[in-house]
Amino acid sequence: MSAPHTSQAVVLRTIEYSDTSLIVRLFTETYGKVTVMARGARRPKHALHGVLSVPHRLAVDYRHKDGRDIQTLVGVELADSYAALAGDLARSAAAWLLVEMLDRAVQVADPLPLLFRLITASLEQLNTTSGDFTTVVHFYQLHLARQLGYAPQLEKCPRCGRQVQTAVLDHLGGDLVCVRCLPSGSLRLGRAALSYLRDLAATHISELDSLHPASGVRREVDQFLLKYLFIHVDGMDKLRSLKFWRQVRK
Amino acid sequence: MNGLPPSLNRIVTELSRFPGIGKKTAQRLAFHLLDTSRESVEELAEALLSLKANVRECRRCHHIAEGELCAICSDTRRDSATICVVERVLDVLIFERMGEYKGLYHVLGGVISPLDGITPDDLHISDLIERLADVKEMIIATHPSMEGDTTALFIAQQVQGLPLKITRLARGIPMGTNLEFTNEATLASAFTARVDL
Ligand SMILES: [Zn+2]
Ligand SMILES: [Zn+2]
Repeated sequence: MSAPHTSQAVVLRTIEYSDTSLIVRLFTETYGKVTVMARGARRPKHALHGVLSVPHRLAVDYRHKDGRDIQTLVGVELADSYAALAGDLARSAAAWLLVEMLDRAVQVADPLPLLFRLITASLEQLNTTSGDFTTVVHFYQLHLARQLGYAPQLEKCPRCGRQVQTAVLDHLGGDLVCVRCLPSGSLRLGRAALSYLRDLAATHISELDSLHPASGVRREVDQFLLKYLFIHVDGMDKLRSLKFWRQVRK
Repeated sequence: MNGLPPSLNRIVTELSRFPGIGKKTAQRLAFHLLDTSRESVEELAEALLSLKANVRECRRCHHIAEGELCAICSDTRRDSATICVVERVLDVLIFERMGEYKGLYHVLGGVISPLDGITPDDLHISDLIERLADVKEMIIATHPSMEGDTTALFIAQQVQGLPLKITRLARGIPMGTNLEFTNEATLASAFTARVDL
């Protein structure tokens, strides 16, 4: 049985399938991760042409058949191309990183509307903010971990229950614990870094410009969030877009 | 198997590796070769070997060349003060077919594509910059996609401060277009209407 499906979606990846067709991996709001075949999309005069690009937000129409890995794309409308990204190397690099993290984090076609809101709001903020957009990247990484079910403990140590002053990442268990419980830990978060992480957890994305972490704090949190995601999410350590992001970020 | 002799099956297997050649077409070509005179087949085999032995990358622009420099780089009538930067060898062929451009080229060998792990270090960007000393205009003709735009922007930032005019092909070409499929009239207008970067 084939059924028409309609959803908002973000383009995660495109793969050239033939001279004229494109395979497109989408993160849809209603159905989760879906791969579709876009016939003719590489033809210059085709209606889908150029619309199917990372990280565009689209309204898609596709025919779904159970048991198929690749569904058939029927119609597309461009909702947002995040056009300002293209004028800024570091912002484009960040957008690619966000999209690739989502692509690696989500494996199945389960609806994850909160994650959809996270990626679209983060791309939107990346596209429009005039402020320091590394806070957007940190916000995204922290909330990605939370929504995947791996929220780091930022208040009380999960081992001894005491309020954490300096936190240490336990590379084996993946928890953030207090330095008294794991004195040998190498990846540390000081008081200011913990407070910045708490702010990220509590601040609405549109208010991120109000956060101004010192550069040392930013570095600590940067290292921590990546490492934390590497530990908890399979495949995160293979991120390809990380290299370019590190090369061009300010 | 299919009852054909091993030598024939071998050639069918090799031919069907070509783009656009299926098993049936490969068989038809193989039978055609069987019917062809020994001299013609030798001529073809020799041409194939010579292709591999003599054709390489131009030392200066990375276009295909027979010898150190390609035909375009060694043509003294071409304007060496203008360089057109393209993604692939195929793009050079397209611009040459159009016939209006008289400058030189530089083939990057791809485009910055973080999701494929391709960064500026994987492209011929540093030797492009070395070529720019006597250049007055650099036209960046990467494809209009986020990857192509990022590559153009990256190159422009690398050469900031050099006394040269940097332009980008105009947006006559829709976003995501493969230059290969753009007709020559569209491309020619993109060329004349190129914009400053
Ligand atoms: Zn503790
Ligand atoms: Zn050359």
